[in-house]
Amino acid sequence: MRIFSPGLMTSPQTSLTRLRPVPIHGKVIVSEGEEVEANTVLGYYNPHGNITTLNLARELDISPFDVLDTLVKREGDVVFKGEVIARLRGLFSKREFRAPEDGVLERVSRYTGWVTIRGLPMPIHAGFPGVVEKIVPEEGVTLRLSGANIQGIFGIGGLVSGRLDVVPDSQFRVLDNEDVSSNYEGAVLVGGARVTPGYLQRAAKLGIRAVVTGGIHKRDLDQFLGYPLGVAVTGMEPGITVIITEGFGQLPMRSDIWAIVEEHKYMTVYASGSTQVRAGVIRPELFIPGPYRESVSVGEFSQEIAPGARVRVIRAPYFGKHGVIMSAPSLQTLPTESVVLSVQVRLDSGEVKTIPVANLEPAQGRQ
Amino acid sequence: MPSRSFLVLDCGSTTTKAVLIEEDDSKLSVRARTEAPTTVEKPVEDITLGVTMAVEQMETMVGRKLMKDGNFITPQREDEGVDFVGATCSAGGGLQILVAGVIKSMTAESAARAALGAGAIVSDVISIDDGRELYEKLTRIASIRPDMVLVSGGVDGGNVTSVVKLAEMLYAAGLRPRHGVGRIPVIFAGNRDAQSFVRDILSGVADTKMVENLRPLLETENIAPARQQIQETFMSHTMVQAPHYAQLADKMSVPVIPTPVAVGKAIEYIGESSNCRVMACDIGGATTDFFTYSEGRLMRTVSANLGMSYSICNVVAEAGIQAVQRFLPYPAEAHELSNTLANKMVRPTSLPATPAELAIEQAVARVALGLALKHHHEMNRGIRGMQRKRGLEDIFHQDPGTGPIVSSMNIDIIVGSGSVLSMAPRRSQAAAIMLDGLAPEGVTHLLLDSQFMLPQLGLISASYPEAAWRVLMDSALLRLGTVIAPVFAPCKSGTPLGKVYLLSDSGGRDEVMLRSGDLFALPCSGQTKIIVKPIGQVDVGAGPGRTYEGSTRGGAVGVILDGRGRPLPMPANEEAGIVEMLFQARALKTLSNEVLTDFARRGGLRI
Repeated sequence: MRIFSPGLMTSPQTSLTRLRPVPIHGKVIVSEGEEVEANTVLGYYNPHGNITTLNLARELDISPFDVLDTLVKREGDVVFKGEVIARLRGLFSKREFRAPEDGVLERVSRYTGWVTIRGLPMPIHAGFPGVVEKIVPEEGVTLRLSGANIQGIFGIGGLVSGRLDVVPDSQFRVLDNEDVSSNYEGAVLVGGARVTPGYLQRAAKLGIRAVVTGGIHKRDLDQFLGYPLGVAVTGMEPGITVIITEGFGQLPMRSDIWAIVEEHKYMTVYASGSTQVRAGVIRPELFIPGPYRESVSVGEFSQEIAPGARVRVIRAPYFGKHGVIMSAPSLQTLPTESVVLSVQVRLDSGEVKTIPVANLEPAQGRQ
Repeated sequence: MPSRSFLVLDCGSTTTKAVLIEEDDSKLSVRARTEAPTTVEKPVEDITLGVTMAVEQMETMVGRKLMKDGNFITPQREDEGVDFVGATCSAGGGLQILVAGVIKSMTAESAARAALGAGAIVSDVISIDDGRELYEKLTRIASIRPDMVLVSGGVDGGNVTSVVKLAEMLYAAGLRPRHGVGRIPVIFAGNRDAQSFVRDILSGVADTKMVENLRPLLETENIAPARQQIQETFMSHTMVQAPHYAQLADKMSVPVIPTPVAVGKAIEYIGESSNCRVMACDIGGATTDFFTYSEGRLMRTVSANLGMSYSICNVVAEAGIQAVQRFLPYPAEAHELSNTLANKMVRPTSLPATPAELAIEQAVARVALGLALKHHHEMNRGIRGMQRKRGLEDIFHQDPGTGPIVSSMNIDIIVGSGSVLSMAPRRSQAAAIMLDGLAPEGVTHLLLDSQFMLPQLGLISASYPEAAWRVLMDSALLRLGTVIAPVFAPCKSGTPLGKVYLLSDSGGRDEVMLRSGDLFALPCSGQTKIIVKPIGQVDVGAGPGRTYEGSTRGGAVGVILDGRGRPLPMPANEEAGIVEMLFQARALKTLSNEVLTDFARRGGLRI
């Protein structure tokens, strides 16, 4: 009988794939198998802020259904500011409509007469050294990367990059306003067993790109967000990215995380707070890219819950403690009177406890 | 070797359950039941692995090989395999909808109501006049990856242009499905004259569905068709979206069906065979499903925003942390409670390992049930003060727009399902959760899906109806007991409400005076007559002041006499609430003496 449990990856050297999205209406220009550097252009896309719509029918004082007949340019054509897009010739006069901005004539509606001009395409860079593993039509490019990867349990905010930095001597304490200074501007700042809303607000104000910490009180997260978070589906919140590695409460980060972070201090890293805790689970992560190596020992760990496996407890009353499984899973009666599949775990403190398999996750990497 | 065998699975958002049913000497029984965490998380991210884990546990329990090389062995032969393998699925989790309408205060608002009424979480409400710049709307739409989009706008025969603009905006934004696979469902519930344009614009990028206009006239709101379509699309599209779902479906003897559909079939059978009005609830990890069966009609709501793991914090967001504290038998700091629930949200497959944590989850279950029941009533209630287009559900109403379809007083049977109920360590805990969460009125029989098998039995009923229903009635459904809960005007605690007589066929007789504030249980098993003679205008189900006569077969908890009143009164303060819950625990024997004493000590009380 095999039992597997999802675990959070913490690996000093691993190979993983990440989708590098080229947003809508984008075009990918690299090929599968191509090696890329961080500044390689993967493709071009049209940012949403760069869009203009105008009522061409009203401008020319005609019915929407007649708009198409007046076009000088076609959908998909590049147009430049001041260039004639449409022309209406009367018996004694001529009316012209000129592009208000540079862009691409994206759509002309024969129903409403509206014209959409999207700004000129912007490049999207790889951001990481790696290899193009797969082109995903209209979605982007999947890159295979090498580097160190740390997954958290929950986060907010999107993908950002910055200089990896650490709040010294902070593994076991609470970080507040006074712990963050302008020296950390532009950083992905790691530290603390818990952070306060004041810390996050000050960090955001000082231009810190992301905060990585062990824990946070749920009420503090809600206060920072400005609303009570109901479901763990995040990643679109504006502002600073936050990654919680252990859970809600005051919980020191795992020592293997500290080791990786100290080793890569001041390097450019990537942090994503996107979290989705339902089918198609997404966890927040901190990625420290290394030079791409074709063959690298994949730091995958066994998720199997079996005797000898090293585990972390993810629920009270031993939340956060580490240990080693001493027995095969079997049905046991808990203090709740429930009968559930459980194992004996020798905690690092030396105690042996009966813990439900569902309350264990594999612990990997250096401890 | 059994003459027939059925292996049926339910892949929930949190756990995957496997049930083995065998027939020996024409007798069907549940041979074994196992469960494993649903495996939808990286790096595993394969729903079939959770299935394999549950089945391997079963193989160990029954000593029979059921799978080989990742496939089920069918049909059954000698000492291996089964005759039938089937699955229900709700692993896709909750429902997030993007709502788009033409006018914010009219069609967009009605559409949001439809989406909320369908039990969804509304990601955003976009309208032509919402004050945002076009690029802001497009950015927002593109950044949200909802499960579906609900579009409305224009009265029938009215504005088409604005509706078309809305559709073009959605097209320009680039709608993408959550899992990046297939097309995102778009439900259009606007001006019927705009349907062809909307379909023309969006059908290339979305799976478009047309329903009746939810605002056919300015003064008329008709959200039922949109709501129904949302629920159907949710079940057929979203709930079953799980990694490697197709591989799971390939291994089955029959198509996989959404869990609420399967449970609905079981509830219909219970209602039809008992000729009673039935209410049923199924509290899952991401959703709470409610069913009401009355006079040949089944109504179903899926509250996709209320559950015991993925949506557990949403229960608190809707009801407030005090609502959870109210049902705890010990004092708990609000922020520590919030942390506990948030940790469950992000680690949904974890289990309560201490009595205190179990009490927290059972308190949340009470709150979730109350909210989901309210949602169920609202989904099926008319709109006050507004001309209401009559729909199918209007058949039930005598007085449209003023009350729920079937009032609590008229419900004969309540069936509880879902892990928190079915797997509660004590049956009395399940009864207490249903009692507090659903607040039944009059005389109501409580049944429990004791092995959490309603979905599986509903599934096999399509192919083997007789087998399914025999197992349902003989093994799956457990009688918890009967609740006698009078409804009365507010009065002083201790006021006599009525005399209750229990006359068992075996000759036993109990006679008690039920008073305001009372809560206790009388043991009862076997056929027993119930007579309740209310005092004054107290109503126990036969009408104010009228004597009730009925019968019960008792159950695990017996007959529960609940004189607390309806709606359940709020305790005066935290200590009063804790005392109330401790007394409930003692009266209904939901906790051991040791745990009861420990909880009382935490509250500085003695019991």
